[in-house]
Amino acid sequence: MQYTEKTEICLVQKAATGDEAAFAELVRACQSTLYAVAMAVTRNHQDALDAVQEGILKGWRKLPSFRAESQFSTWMTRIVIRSALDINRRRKPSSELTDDIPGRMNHNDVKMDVRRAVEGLEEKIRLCTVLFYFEDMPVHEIAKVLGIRQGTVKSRLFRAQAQLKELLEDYRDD
Amino acid sequence: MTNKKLYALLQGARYELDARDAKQIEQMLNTLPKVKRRTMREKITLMATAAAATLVILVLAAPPIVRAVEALVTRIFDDRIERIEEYTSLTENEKIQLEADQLAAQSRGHTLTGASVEFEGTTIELTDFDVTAPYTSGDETYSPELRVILTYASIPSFDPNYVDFTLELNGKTYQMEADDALDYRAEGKVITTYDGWHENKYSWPSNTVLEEDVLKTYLGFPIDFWAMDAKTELTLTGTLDGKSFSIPFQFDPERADAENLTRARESVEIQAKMNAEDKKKYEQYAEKAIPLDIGRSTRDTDFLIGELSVTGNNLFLTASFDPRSEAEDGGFMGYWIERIAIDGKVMSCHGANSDERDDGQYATIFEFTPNTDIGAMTGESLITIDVELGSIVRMARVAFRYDWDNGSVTEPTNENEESAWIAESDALTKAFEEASPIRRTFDLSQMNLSQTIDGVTITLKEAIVDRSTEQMRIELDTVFDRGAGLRPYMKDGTGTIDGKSSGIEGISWSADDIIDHVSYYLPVHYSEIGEETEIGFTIPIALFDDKDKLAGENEYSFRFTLEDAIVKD
Repeated sequence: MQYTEKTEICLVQKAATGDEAAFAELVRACQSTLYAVAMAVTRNHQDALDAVQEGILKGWRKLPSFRAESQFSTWMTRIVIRSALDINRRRKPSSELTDDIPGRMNHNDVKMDVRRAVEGLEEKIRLCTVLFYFEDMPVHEIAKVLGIRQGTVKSRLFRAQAQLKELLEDYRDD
Repeated sequence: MTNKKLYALLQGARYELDARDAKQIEQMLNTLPKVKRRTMREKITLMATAAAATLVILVLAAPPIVRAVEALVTRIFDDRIERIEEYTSLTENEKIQLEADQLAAQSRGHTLTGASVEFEGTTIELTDFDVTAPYTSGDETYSPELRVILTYASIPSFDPNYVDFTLELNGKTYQMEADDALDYRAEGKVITTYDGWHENKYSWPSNTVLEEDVLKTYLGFPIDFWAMDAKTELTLTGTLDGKSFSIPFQFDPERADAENLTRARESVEIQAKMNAEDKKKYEQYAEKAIPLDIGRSTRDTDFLIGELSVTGNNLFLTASFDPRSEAEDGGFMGYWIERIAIDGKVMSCHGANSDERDDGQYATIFEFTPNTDIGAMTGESLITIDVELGSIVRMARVAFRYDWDNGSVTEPTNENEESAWIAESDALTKAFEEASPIRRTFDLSQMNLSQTIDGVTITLKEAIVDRSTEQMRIELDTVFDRGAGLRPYMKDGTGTIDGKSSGIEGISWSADDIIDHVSYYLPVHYSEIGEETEIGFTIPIALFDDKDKLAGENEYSFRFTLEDAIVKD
């Protein structure tokens, strides 16, 4: 079963022999997803950016151990999630959440409110939500990224739906 | 609220990297540390001897090689060509077998034909399956998983999410991956049309998705170890509302191997194309290469700058590095050439291609965008190259003179002379930047251009003019004197000239990881600066209380009058 693109295989091969340009090309293709999952975990822009960069470095170091049982982006996403969790753990208790701005706000209040609602979800549910709704990742891919069962992904997404509908009640259909 | 509405709201709230963040990541990608990699030759050796673990241990345990600078590779373009030729010299079968072994170590399976069943008015076909190898990544261990793909000849009248799937293998029944409670079903719905699946592609969590107009179900079965060395019968069974269907299928190791070889062949074909392109590229670089051969030994690294080549829009610099010791953390040592200055004109590195040779050297090609017409250079130039080394970055600066007419390189006779040449180059760089017709920075920090409104203070710091785009941006600091229990969050604001918006929003970011100290760029049009020009900044700031609730939002408008003498020559 071929889950990886041919070109991706070759880029990974090149990157695994030390070709930075090939690795950079692979990362560029998935950097928005990496940032999104990092935001999902840290709920802080700077921490998310740090997690992405830390994750990229880890990925670069560990590339020879990459096994193409999943796509490169799946593997990198997993690494960035771990980096983001590490950053959360390293974060001083005094700076947890109360000192963070949940989400990066924009001019659009709807957008801000929706992000704040997502960021209010439990971490496990939040990760599934961001991957599914923000990154358009199918359930079977999310299961691979998070190392959980598809059914678990689905049940978390259903819980997310229920909670988000409640939190965003003000934006319900007229 | 409908799922569709929720989906729309969520889609509109996606996290996005802004240009500044993307640039930060890009810079990082362009400055990746060098990492020891197993070379192709080593991989071939591993394949031939099947003694991977032993060899890796030997490689890791090998003492660092001490080598004189003279032994470092000088012609990296030629070296690359040779390495490609080395790989190309393998027989086709060797290349394919190497690739196939790597693929087989990751997963094994094959496509199927005719493994189908009629159920509820549609044909369900099992088209593809494989088993992933067990592996450990970090602290986690992943057990083997048998993955299956089902396709439907037409949109079924039932929702596959409601089907209970089981797999029979070697007399044992495995349950599909599913949440124990299966509580998603209680809120599920039946999608019976193509449009329905299309519309719900992402708004509905499902293991069934529409892909290129074909509905597919992805299933995963965590399984025990399976040797996969003989033909094996399997059965996939689905149960829905008391009705069942079964799809018997067979694992055929010969077919798995054959398909694996096909994929390996395809991969080798692509590799051959890429190698051909690379070889052509390196031959062009080599043809125009200017030999430099500047070598230095630092505390823990020998390095040699081999060649300089200008091809197309890029200037390439090759360098080889030999680490005499490993980084303290056992990880990697970094090597990087950040910039080259030719007669004071600085070029920054924007890409690199590194390769670890069999002898442990790192041979790297660095790319720069030339900002001088090197092809037309005559006489002698002073060239400096900044080399960053080590896991804790140390700078090694190299200076030499190059005669473009006769191709001779003159190196400083001692460290004092090299320091003097570097100082001379830096002075040239400073003079060049000050006289630059492209970019000019005006220091505003001494002019007390500062205002405070309701506890928000902004101070103009610099005006930076880019004459290539005729734009000026102003950098300013903002300090918010926070009220008790309130936290500010600055949003992107706007800049105006004489009340007219520049049309480009300012970009803010945290300078010191403190939210109330923010530098702020506001681009305005340089050509519109008259003798006295009013420049305005409107900065929205949101306030949050200690419970993380939005407590209010205010806009702060500042007006400054700039005399043209401040920001014009």
